[in-house]
Amino acid sequence: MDYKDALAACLDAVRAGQDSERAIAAHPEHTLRLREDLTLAAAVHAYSMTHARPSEAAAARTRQRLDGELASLQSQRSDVPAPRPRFLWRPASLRGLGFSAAVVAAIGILVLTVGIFSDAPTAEAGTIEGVVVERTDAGLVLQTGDGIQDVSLDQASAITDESGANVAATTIEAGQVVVVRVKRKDTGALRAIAVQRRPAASLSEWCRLHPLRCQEVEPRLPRESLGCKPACAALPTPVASVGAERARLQELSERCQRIGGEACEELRRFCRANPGVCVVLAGWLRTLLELPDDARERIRVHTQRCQSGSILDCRELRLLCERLDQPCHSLTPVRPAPASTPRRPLN
Amino acid sequence: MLTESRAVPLQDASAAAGFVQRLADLEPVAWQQFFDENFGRMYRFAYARTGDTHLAEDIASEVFAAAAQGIGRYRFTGAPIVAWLFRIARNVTADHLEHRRKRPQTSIDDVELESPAFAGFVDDATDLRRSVALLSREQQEVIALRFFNDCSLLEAAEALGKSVGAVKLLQHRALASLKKQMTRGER
Repeated sequence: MDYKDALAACLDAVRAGQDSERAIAAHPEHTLRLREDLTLAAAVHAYSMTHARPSEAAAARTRQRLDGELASLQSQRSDVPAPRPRFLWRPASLRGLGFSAAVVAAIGILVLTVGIFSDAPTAEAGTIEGVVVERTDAGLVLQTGDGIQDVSLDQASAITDESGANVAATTIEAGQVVVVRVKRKDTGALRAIAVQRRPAASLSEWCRLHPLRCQEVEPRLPRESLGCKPACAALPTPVASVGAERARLQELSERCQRIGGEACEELRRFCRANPGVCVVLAGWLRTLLELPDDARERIRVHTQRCQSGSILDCRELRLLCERLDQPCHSLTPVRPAPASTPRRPLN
Repeated sequence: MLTESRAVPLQDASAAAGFVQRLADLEPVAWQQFFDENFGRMYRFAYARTGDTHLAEDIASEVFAAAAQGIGRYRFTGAPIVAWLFRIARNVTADHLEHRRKRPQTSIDDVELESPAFAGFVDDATDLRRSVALLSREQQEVIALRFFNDCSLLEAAEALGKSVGAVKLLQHRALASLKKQMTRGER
């Protein structure tokens, strides 16, 4: 079998849930090349899972646009029934509500999305979501899904709470999740046009979506914000308990990348002993290091990602559980639920 | 051979054809299902090609608007309808990239982000994104379909308008080029 066919066969086998080494073993003449290419393919897949996730806001905006397109098309067709009410598009989390509540919620979501996103997207404007790690004289330091971001505040910045009511800028505190509509200044810095504070429980949801960044948030937050505030309770428990392991992992991963060889072996040993830390903090690196593929750990990871909304991981989980005859409890992705309280636009 | 669409009972051609007809009838529930299953996939495809979160969101949005407008002209051939959606995504993405090439802009994603913790991890991810960006359009597309979206060979072939054999060759070359680019980046 030539190499491209062997590679395709291995990729399909891995895609179907087979262990990569077993798939490679079927093509002994290409072992080294296949191992390299499968590792790279796994790294690309892992990268896509951690970096290529659309925001809730983008999904809501697109749904709204699609809803408008469909309504427009329906009105052009005489043989098609009249457009159905918009509340039919309400998210799954709202489907159990009564008629009136659903209408109120749908109107709230509609008003919110129209309010926030009615401006045409430009290169200078955008919306970012993140955790406030510091309040400075100039504005906010945010931990976003992409990293740390400074955003300046001024008199014109509209600050609202989770219900949409205007509040003072001083009520924005470290540990809160905020959605910020920003504009880029000539200097390249970002200025907040509007800031909306999210409910305390949003931090937990944010951490589920950005586990790696979540680990970076906790040590940045002032101690007092973790003492008794709701934000503290919302943080997943591993965050507060992995400080030493995280520091060790960082040191080892840096040494592995700098020196290689024995340093990477040490990192492998550490990750075998602390699989939870390595999975949460460096899943991508874990793939590259070809750490042992423990089935229970895979189930745990796929379950975690499945519950975060990854349908691909739900599929992997199902395949894995079927193959291993293991009980699986989380085969349905849990999509992030929008706030059920109608909110007013940011500005 | 669907991935996310596997959750939908579309195992046989008649069910698939029925679903397409419901879309063509502009049935809201069918469109909601179609959107829920495929919005993430369109976003990931666009993100793989552009590396820009905001542009990827815009492209995914345009894909669904174009799909709504074009569903009346779509003829079911037995191929997964998601392949048709990916073909729209290919065209919309190409248009956006061409527009951006003519009018270079700065995206918020271009801002250099501080990331003191796990700098190596982030660097690796950045290297990967940059390396993907250096591939040819077809190579980027096959990476986007096969590894960002976990498409089967058949789905990828339908989306790219190629034979399965051609996709095998393309993915082999794409991985080889990606490896080469990443090796260069390490020097």
